[in-house]
Amino acid sequence: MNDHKNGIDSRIAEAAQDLYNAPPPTPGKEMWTDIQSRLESDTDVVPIGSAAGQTRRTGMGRGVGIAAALAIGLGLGRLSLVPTPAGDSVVEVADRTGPEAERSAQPYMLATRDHLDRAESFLTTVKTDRASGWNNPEIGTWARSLLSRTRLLMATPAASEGPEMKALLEDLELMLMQIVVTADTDDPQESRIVDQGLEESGLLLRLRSADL
Amino acid sequence: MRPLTWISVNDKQLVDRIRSGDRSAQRALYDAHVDRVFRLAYRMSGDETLARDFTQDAFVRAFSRLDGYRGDAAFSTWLHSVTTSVVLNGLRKVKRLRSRELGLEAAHGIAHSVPQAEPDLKTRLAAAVKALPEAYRTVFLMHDVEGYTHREIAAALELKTGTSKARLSRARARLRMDLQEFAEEWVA
Repeated sequence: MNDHKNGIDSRIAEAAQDLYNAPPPTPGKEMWTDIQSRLESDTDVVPIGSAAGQTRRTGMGRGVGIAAALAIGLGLGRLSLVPTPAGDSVVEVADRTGPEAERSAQPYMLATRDHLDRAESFLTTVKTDRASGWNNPEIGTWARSLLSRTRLLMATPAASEGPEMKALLEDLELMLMQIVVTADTDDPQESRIVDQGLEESGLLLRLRSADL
Repeated sequence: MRPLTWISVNDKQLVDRIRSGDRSAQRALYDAHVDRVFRLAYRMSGDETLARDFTQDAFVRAFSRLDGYRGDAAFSTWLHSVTTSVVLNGLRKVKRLRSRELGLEAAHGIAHSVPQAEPDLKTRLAAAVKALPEAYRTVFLMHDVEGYTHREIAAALELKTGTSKARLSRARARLRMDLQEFAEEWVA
C-alpha cells in the first residue's frame, strides 16, 4: 500500500480513509436476509444437489422459470404490498386469439403485465402522496420490493420483447432506485429528482400503454 | 489476520460445498467477505442504500454464477471482480438518471451552486476525489483507501498491474495538485 508513496500521498490517503465516504458498520445480517430471499426466488442459482459444471437452464428456459416464480409469487399475493387500483390485477388475455394469445399467455408476459400494473399503481400512489405532502413511511419498502422484481423481469425474455419494453423496464428500475434513495435520505434535492422524473419521463403513461 | 493461503483454501472448500448443495456454506462464504465488499461499495457510492443494494446484488450474482468461477484465482478476487462490475454499472445508471434530471433543472434555472468560503479538508478532499476520472478514482479508493493490492485491483478490473499502478500514480498527482493548500500543514 505504500509503494512509491511520498509524504503528501500518505497524508491524503490517511485523510481519505478517515473522511471520504467512511463506511458505517456493515449491516451483514440484514443484507443476508434479503440475499437469501432473492436467492430462494431466483432459479438462476446453482440448484442444491447439482454437481459443478452441470448443465443449467439458460436463455428462454431460465427466463420462463424466473417469470413463473414471479407469477406464482403474484398469485400468492406476495406482491400485495402495493395497492392495486381496483382489487386484484386483471390480465386481459382471455379475448385474444392466435399467436398474440399464445405470446401473451407466456408466464413471463403474464408476470410482466401484472408487474407493470402494480408499478403503475405504486408510482401513482407516490405521486399522490407527494402532491399532498404526506411522507408515506412504507414507500421505501414497496419500492425495494418492486425494484427486486423489476430486476428479475429484466432477466427474462420480457426484456427482449423490443427496445420499448427494455427501455421501459430500465427506466422503471432507475425510478425505483431513486425512490429507494429518496425514502432513506429525506433530501429535498433527491425528492425533486423523483418528482421531475415522474413528470418528465412519461413513465406512468408508458406503463399504462405498454403493449403486452 | 488469517494468512491469505488459508483463506483461499477455505474458500475453495466452501465453494465446493455450495456446489454440492450445502446452503450453509453460502452463509459462511458471505460472512467471510461481506465486510470488505460492503466497505468498497460504500466507499465508491457514498450512500448506504446504494452500498447495501450493490453488496446484495454482488453476492446474488456471485452465488448465481458460481459455475463461472473456475477456481484458478482466489474466490475473493473473483468476487471483487463481480463487485466492481456491479458497483460501477449501478453508479453509471444512477448518474445517468441524475444528470438527466439535473439537466432539466439547470435548463429551468433551478439548480445553482452556492460557493463555500474556505472549505475544510473533508469538503475539499471529497470534491477532489469525486473530480477524478472514474478509472483513477476506483483505483485510488481500492488501493490507498481500502488497501487492495495492485494484483487484486488488476484482477477485479481486468487490467494489467502496470495500468493499475499508472492510474494510481495519476490519481495521486491530481489529488496532490488539488489539495496543495493543505500540503504545508501536512509537511509541517
